[in-house]
Amino acid sequence: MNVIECSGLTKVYGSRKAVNDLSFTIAENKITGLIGRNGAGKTTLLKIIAGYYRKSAGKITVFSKNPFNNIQVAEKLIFVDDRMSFPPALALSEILSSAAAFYPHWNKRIADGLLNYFQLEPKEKHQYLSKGMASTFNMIIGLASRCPLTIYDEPTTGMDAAVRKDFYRALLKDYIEQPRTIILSSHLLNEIEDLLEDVLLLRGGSKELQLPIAELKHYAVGLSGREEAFAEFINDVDILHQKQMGNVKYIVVRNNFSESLQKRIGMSGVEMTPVATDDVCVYLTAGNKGGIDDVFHRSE
Amino acid sequence: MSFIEVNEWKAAKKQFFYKLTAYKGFFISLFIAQFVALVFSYGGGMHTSISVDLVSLTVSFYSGDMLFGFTLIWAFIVAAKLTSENYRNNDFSFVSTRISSNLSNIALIATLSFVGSVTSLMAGVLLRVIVYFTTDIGMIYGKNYLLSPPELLTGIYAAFLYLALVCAAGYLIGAVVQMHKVLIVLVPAVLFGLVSYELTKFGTIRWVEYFTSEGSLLMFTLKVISAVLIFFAGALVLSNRLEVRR
Amino acid sequence: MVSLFFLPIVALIIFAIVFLTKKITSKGFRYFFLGYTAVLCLAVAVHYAIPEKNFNSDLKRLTYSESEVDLNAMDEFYDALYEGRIADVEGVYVKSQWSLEVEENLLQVVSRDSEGIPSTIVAERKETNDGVIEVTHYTTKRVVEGFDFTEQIQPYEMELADGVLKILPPEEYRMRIVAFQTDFEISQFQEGDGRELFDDMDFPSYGFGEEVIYMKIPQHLQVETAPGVYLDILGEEE
Repeated sequence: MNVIECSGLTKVYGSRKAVNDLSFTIAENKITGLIGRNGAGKTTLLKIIAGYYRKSAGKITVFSKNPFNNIQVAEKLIFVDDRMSFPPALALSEILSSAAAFYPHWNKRIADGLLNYFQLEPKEKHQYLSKGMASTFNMIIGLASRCPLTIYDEPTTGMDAAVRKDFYRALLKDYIEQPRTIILSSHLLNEIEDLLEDVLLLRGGSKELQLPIAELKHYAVGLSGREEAFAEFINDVDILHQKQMGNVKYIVVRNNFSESLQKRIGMSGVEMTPVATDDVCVYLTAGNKGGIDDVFHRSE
Repeated sequence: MSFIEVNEWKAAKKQFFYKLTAYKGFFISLFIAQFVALVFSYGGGMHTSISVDLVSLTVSFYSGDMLFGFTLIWAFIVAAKLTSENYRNNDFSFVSTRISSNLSNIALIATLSFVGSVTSLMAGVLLRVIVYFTTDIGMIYGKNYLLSPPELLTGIYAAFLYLALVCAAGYLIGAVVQMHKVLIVLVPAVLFGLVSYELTKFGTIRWVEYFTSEGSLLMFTLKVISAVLIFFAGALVLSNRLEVRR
Repeated sequence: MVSLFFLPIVALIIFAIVFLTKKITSKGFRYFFLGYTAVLCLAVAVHYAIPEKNFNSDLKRLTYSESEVDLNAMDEFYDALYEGRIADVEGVYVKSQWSLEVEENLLQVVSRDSEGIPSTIVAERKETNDGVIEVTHYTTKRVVEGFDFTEQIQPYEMELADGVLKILPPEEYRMRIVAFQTDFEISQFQEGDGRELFDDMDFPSYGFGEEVIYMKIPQHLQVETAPGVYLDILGEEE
């Protein structure tokens, strides 16, 4: 069953299309990573899913319903980001017990345990927390609420590396205990790739690709060698990225070489290396094949 | 109201109890405002003096008007505050729709109005008791001193309706102001203009007098209830299409 | 209009109070809430425990029917006075009387320093020259806002020496009362208007009462008055 179905989804701000003709589906009980650069439309998309924003065009259903202002959708999802706001009169422990009233699957054991583990003072007020602490607290709510659809928008903002690691581990453990649909947006894929099953990559408000993480690992391949050595192989492939280092050239291409071709490449002295998923995403969403280096080469 | 789903009522109920604890500061601000009004009423009672050949009669008037006035202003501020972005966003951290958010706000407003009406009348009684113990009893004029229980109940009932009316107006004005930044300046300016127009042209504000000059409790109830329904419906329609900019 | 001027200031104060209390803790809230409601409940209990009879009966106000005689006396007062029959009017009382002997032929009537005398002073020449001035202070009931002050007002003092009659008005009688206005939201639905304390007043004005210092003087006594003191002699008005 698909939790989210969306086709031709568009959100317009003035003349800018934050989300542009986007079509995808997200299946039940999967952890999907929503990856994209700043301004790729991740947050806008997530807020449309959460029913906060109204779509401008296209179709979107969440649990088979239009999510905007819909109580039946709102009941089944929680949206966690660093701008979650809570009344200033409530202490952290009071916020947790209030949240418990809203979510039927609320897990008090996890909530209290995590609060204690991350050394958050129950009597502390949310607005006095540091950015990282606030993110940690919001994450606790996201985990403990055990909503059928849990959305984390850049959940690790401000967290230090150790807390981020703990968070990912907690997320995974909790997911195994109680599987549910989770969307995790981030611009850093490498930290979360072990967690994800699917990746949805956005670029400029449109879908660049949506793949299982396993396939993404083999999506592209890096070739390095002297330029004339691999000229013959790259006539009809997409070059995702290229870089010149002295007389050695490094290019990243879509990995759709046949086995025989791969063998020929190996023999021609061109080195073939896997490309990290993170880098693939960066190359796919870059505005320019040469990356930042191009800017400096030109100015020289 | 069939356009409100059962689940929406349920969510509104949860939100209402959440708001009761989350916004408990409202009650405290009410009490402090009433305390300030009490001090002003006691210290700054109105005095009139009449001097006729060899007799000088000074009457010090006390009344609960300031208490009720402060409570009305408090109600307006609190209701308008509920429509502000921060307060709306607080709702959307948990399960909420625009409708459930508004419904729970209305329930909260009704509760605040009720507490405001009971306490403002009781604070009026407190003022009487304070005056009783701090004034030479021989000087107290008995006529309006004792508030009979029926009077007290009428007062609480009428005060509740007034507070609900002012809250609903504040809530609607707040919702209108939230539509666009320009309205934050525009709406108060228009209101001020209307008030001064009414005052200079008619010497009174007719749409205030519409309620204050109604001598029948039943008619007053009907007038207030219909106005409150219109105000809340307006606020609901305005906010229902609003996106949550969290 | 005055309240309209204060409205923004009060609104600002209350806004600040609302702002400052939004972070109150649950504990602080409990103390505040319980404390305030306890005080209010106590106040209501005490209020209803105060017996009505505790209020001073001196502060009873006259009604119109009770004052009918006095109002008639008021109407008739000056006619009767100048017709020399003031003593016969019902509702006119003798506050005090003096009998003073004057040896001189010239009487100067003065007051304290340069003060005037609030009362009308009227003199009637007697048939004889017995050297005695008979002074009577007549008054109707003195009512202000329905309160009867006839008894409370102190009498005048008269001093006669060396042909100078000093008429000394008493100190002003001061009374302060404390009164409550019925709350607006209650009085709106009441028959009368509990707002104006003396709204039930059907007297012609906020107060009434007339008085006169009436002198019977020896027939040939000459009378002079100090500036600010006015004295009419019956039958000799200009």
